[in-house]
Amino acid sequence: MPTTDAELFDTKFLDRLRSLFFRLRKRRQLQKRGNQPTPSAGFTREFKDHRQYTPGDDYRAIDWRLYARLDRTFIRIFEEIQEFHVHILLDRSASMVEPFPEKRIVASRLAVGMAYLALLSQHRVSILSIGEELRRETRPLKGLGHIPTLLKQLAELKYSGVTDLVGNLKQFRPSRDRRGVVIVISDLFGRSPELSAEAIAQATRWPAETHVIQVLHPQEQRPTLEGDIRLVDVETSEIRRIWMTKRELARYEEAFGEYLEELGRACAQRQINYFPWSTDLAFEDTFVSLLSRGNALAPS
Amino acid sequence: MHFLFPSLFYFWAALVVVPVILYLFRPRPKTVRTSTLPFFKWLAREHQDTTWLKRLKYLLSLLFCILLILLAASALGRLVAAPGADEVKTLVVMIDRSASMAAVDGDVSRIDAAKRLVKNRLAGVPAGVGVVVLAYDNRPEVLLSRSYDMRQVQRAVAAVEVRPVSGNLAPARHLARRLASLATPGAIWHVTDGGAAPVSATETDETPAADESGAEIQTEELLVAASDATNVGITALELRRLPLQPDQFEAFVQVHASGKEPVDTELELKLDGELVGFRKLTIEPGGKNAFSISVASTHDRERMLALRLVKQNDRLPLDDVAYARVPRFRPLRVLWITASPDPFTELALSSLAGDGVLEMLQGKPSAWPPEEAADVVLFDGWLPKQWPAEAAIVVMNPPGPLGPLQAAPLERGLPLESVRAVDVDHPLLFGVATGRIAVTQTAVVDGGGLLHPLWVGREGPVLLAGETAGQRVVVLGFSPERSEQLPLMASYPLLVGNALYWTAQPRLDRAGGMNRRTGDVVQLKADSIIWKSPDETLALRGPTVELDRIGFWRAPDGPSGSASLLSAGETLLPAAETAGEDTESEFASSPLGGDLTPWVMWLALLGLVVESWLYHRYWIF
Repeated sequence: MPTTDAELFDTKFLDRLRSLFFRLRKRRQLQKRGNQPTPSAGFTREFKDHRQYTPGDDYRAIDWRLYARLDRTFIRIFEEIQEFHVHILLDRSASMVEPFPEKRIVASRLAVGMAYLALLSQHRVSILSIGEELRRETRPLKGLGHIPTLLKQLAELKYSGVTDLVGNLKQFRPSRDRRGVVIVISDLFGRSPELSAEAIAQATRWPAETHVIQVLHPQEQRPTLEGDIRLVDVETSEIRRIWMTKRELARYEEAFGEYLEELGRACAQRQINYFPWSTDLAFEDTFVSLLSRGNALAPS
Repeated sequence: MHFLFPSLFYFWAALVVVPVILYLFRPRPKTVRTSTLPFFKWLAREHQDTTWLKRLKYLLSLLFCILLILLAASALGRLVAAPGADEVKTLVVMIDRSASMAAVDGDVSRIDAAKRLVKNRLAGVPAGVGVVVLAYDNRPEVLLSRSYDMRQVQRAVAAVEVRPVSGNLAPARHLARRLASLATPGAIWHVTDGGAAPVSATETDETPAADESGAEIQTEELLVAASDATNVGITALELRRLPLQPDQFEAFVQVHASGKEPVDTELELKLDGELVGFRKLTIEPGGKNAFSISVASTHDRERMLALRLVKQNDRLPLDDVAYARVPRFRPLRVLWITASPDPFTELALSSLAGDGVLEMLQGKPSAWPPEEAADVVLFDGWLPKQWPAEAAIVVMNPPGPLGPLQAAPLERGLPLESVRAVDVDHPLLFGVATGRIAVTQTAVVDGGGLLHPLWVGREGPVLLAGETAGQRVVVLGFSPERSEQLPLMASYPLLVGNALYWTAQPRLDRAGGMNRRTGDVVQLKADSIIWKSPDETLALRGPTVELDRIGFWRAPDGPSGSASLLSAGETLLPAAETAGEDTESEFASSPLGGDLTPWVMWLALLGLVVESWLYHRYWIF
C-alpha cells in the first residue's frame, strides 16, 4: 500500500522544523562547509569573538591590533559553518507494514522529517533501506528542492521480505559518503531479537553519530490475544500455535520489556542514541521531543 | 466384570459422542499474523512440534476425554468384578415370617433378630453377588428380585413383617432353590426359628448341593430361636353341628404347649363378649389338651365365640386367642313335590318337622317351580323337565333320567330282601340299620361317576349320594310305599332326615360363619372385607381374599367368618441350643473383587491429573 504525499508531508509540521537543526556531539574535522553555525570556531569570514591566546593556538589567528593596544595576545574566533552527511536507514521489511501499517506511516514520516531538517540546513541526505540487503534509495541530496524526489521515493518504497539487520548494518559504510549522522529507523526485530544488539554493535565502526529510532506498535508490546492462536510470522511465514492466557500475556510483556531494556543498555554502552517510538504517540510532539533531547538535534 | 446398573452406564457412556463430535468439528484456531513471533516462541518451550505430533496430541486428548467419560459412566453404572467360577453369584435370603417369628425372646422378637442377623451378614457380601429376598409363611413371596443394590436389599429385609400364618417351608425352599439357580453357584440363607421346618443348629446344611438342573447351591440355616421357648396356644377350634340337633353345636378345642416344664394355663370362653366358661389346664411340654364344649345357636343372630388363654411369660401371643362364628339357627326348609303323597314319607317328614328344626312344604308337580326357595327339594316319583341347580336335591323313586341322574323305572318293582352297604360310615347312613333293610327297587339308577352308591341290590344301586358342582344329590331308587319292611322301621325317618340334612349341609355352612385358619383363601362376591378388632375395611382386588389376620370378619353382602392361627407347628416354638449366634458369612473378598467403583474413581482422577499435567503443564501448543 503506497503512502500518499499528504500522509508524509505535513507543511505545518515541517514549518515547525525550520527552527531546529542538527548538532553534532563533538566537533569533527569537516571537509566541507555548510551554512549551519556551530559552537566551534572556524575559518569563515563571520567574526564571532576573541579569546586569550594559549600555546598551541594558531598564531595566525592572533589579533595584532589588539596586542598593540592592550599588550596582550588574543586570537580572533570566526564562526564555523558545518556541513555534514545525514544517512537515514529505513527498515523496509514486511514487519514494518504487517500487521500494523501504522509503523510504516510513522517510519516514513520520521524519515521525511529528518531528511527535511537536514536539507533545510544544507546538509547532504542519503536514504537507504534495510531489508534482505542494504539498498540505496536516493543519491546524496542537498537543498530543499529535492523534497519532492524524496517524498516520491519514500511513497513508492515496497515493504516486504525479511530483515537481515546485522548484515545490512555491517554492509553500511558511511565513510564512503562522508562523515555525519546516521539515523536508523526500524523495529529492529530482524531475524531474531537476540541479534538486535549485535546489529547495533556495528554502529561503533562508523565515523558518524548514530541514532536508533525503534518503531513499535502498542500491540507488539502488549498483545491482546487470548485462546488458541495460530501465529504466522509476517516475514518468514513461520507458523506457531499457542494457547494464550493472561499468564502467557504477562510473560510476553515481561520478555518484551527485558528485550527493550537490553537494547537500550547496548546502545548506551556504545554512545548511540536510542529512542523507542510507539505508534500511538502524537507524532509531532514526540518528534520535537526527540530533537530536543538528542545531542545531534537542537533548536536554533 | 459387569455393571450393577447397565442402563445407567449406557446412558452416560453415550456422552462419548460429544467429545467425538467436538473433535471432528473442533473450531480451528484463530490465525493471527504477527511481527513478534520470536517472543511468542520464547513462551512455547517446544519449538519442534511436527504436524503429526500435534495430531497425536489432539487424538490423545480425545482418547483421554473418552476414557474419562467411560470411567465416570462405569462408576455411575457400578462396575463390579464378576465373581470367580467357584464364587457365589446368587444369594437368596429366605426369611421365615410365619407366626412363630413374632415370639419374643427376652426383649427382641425373633423377626427383629432375624433382620439384624441378615443385615450384619449382608455387610460381608461382595457387590457382584445378586441378592434375592424371599419371605415365606404358608406361601413364599419374593420381596426383591435379584438385585445388586445392597440398599434395596437392606430395605427389603427391613420391610419383612410377621404374618399370623403358619409356615410352610417346602414351597419356599423349592422357590428359593429355583431362584438360587438363576446364576450358579448359589447360596441360600434360611433365617428361621425352626418353626416351619424344625432344624437344629447342628443340622445346618453347609455342603453344596445340586438342584434339579445340577447347579451347586449352598444352603445355610440361620437360627434365631432362643434356648427357652415356653409357650401355650390354641391349636384347634372347630364347630360341629350335632346330628339331628341343628341348633346345637359342639366346639372342639385343642391346646398345645412347648417348653421345658409343664405349663399351667387358664382358658376363658366368651360368647358374644360374655364369659361363659373357664378351664384350668396343665399341659406337658410338647403335649396337648383337647376337649369339647357345647354351644347353642340362636334364632335371631350369629353368636361370636372367643377363646383366650391366660399365661404369664407366654412367648407368642398370636396363638392365645381363637375365634369362631356360631351360625344363626334357621329351620331347614324342605319342599316335597309329589303327585300322590306317600303316607310313610309324610309321616317321617312330619316327625322331623315336629321338632321345629324343619319347615315342611308340600306341593304337586303343577306347583313347580315354587314361589319360595327351599333348602332341599324332595322329588317323589316326579322330576321336572329341567334340573334345578339352586337347591339340594333328594329324588325318591325316579321316573326317568334328568341332569346327572340316569334312571329307568321298574314298573313292577323288584323286591330286595337285603341290600349291601358300600360305605357304612357315610353320614347318610348315620343311625340307619342297613342290615335289616328290605326294600322294593322301583328304578335302575346310574350315578355316572358323580353319585356314589351307598346301598347296592341285585340290579344295581338303590341308594346313591354325591356332589356335583357344589350341589348335593341323594337318589333313593325304591318306593317306601311298596316296600314291606323299611317304612315301618325307625331307620326310614333317620334316612330321610340324614338325606335332608346331608344335602343341605353346604347351604347351612354358607349361611353360617366361615371359621377358617389364617392363610386360608375364601371367595367373596363383595369388593371389600370388614375386619373386627380392630375395625378396618379393606378393599378387595379380586373374588378371593386371603385371611391374613386373626379375628372376626364379614363382607358387606352377607358372608362372615373368623380367622385364627390354630397351628400346632407355630405354637410349639422351637428352641435353639445356642440362641442368636451370629456367624460370619463365608464370602471371599479380594482387593480387586466386588465393587470396582472406588478403583474406577481413582483411575478417573489419575487420568484427570495426567491429562492436566500433559496438556496444561508439559505440553503447550
